[in-house]
Amino acid sequence: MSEERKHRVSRRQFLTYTLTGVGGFMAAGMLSPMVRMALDPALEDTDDSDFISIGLSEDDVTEEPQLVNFDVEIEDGWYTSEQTQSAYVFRQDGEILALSPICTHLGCTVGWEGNQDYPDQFYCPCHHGRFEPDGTNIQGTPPTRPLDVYEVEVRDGMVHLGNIRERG
Amino acid sequence: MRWNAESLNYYAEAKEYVDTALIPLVPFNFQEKTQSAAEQGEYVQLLSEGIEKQFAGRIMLTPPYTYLQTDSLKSQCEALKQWDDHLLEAGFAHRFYITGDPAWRSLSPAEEAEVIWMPPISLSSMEMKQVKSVISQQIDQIVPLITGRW
Repeated sequence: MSEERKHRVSRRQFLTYTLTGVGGFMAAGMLSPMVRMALDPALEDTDDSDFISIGLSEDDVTEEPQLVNFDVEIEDGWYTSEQTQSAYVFRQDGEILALSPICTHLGCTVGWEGNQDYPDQFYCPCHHGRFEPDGTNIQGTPPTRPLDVYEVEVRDGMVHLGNIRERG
Repeated sequence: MRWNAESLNYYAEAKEYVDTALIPLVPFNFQEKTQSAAEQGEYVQLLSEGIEKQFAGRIMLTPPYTYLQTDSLKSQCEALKQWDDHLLEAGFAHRFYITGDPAWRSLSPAEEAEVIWMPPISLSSMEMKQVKSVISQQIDQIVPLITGRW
């Protein structure tokens, strides 16, 4: 057998190699989107972008709770709609606090100083639930846990609110 | 709360706290002033939904009571009386009917039920933002009527 002959590739071998090669490419082409789809959710960036500006500058936050309305995009089935949410935003011990005005009893909307008899408290008109300025529920009234809080972040001097969090 | 499967779960647990029913009165006909009737219905429903949102823990928003405007007012009123009796029996001490129809103004299905008439506002030409602010202004007017009864 000469050197030349040794390197010869038979017709059968050639076909096997090319077919495996082409087949491999085709399989890869089919599989890679599948793998990508499976991995994608795990690789995706979480939260961070969930914070939205409520159009209130950091300097405008006072010690007195003020009600701020802001629109949140809600995906409901096929529709994307804007829903108005509110928060009581104020400064406590230098830190900005944003409380949800939804009563933790049964979901009515509480009002800051909503009853003249209870100044400096959140008051729920439905069943007379009351909360301290920091959102703590007052014993003896129906609510059993403090008002929920929003995560707060200040970006470029503007107050941004994130996810809502339960306490207590 | 609303008349849907999810809310009714909550309702079963919190029944003793929910003593108020809110019933939108929605007109319906295909003969005359259909446009304004439809508009009135939308307006009344938006108002009702807004009120329910604020007082979700004490108010049950029922499906709208829809009435055929070609029917005589008397028969409509009798039919509404049935709703009212039913709601009273179910434990709703307070019933509020919201309407934009002047015909209902002088009527009330029962003495301790209240018909709240709001002059209908045409919302179709407004932007969503404007609609929201108009509706919330109207709601602010209705709220004392409700809390006053509690």
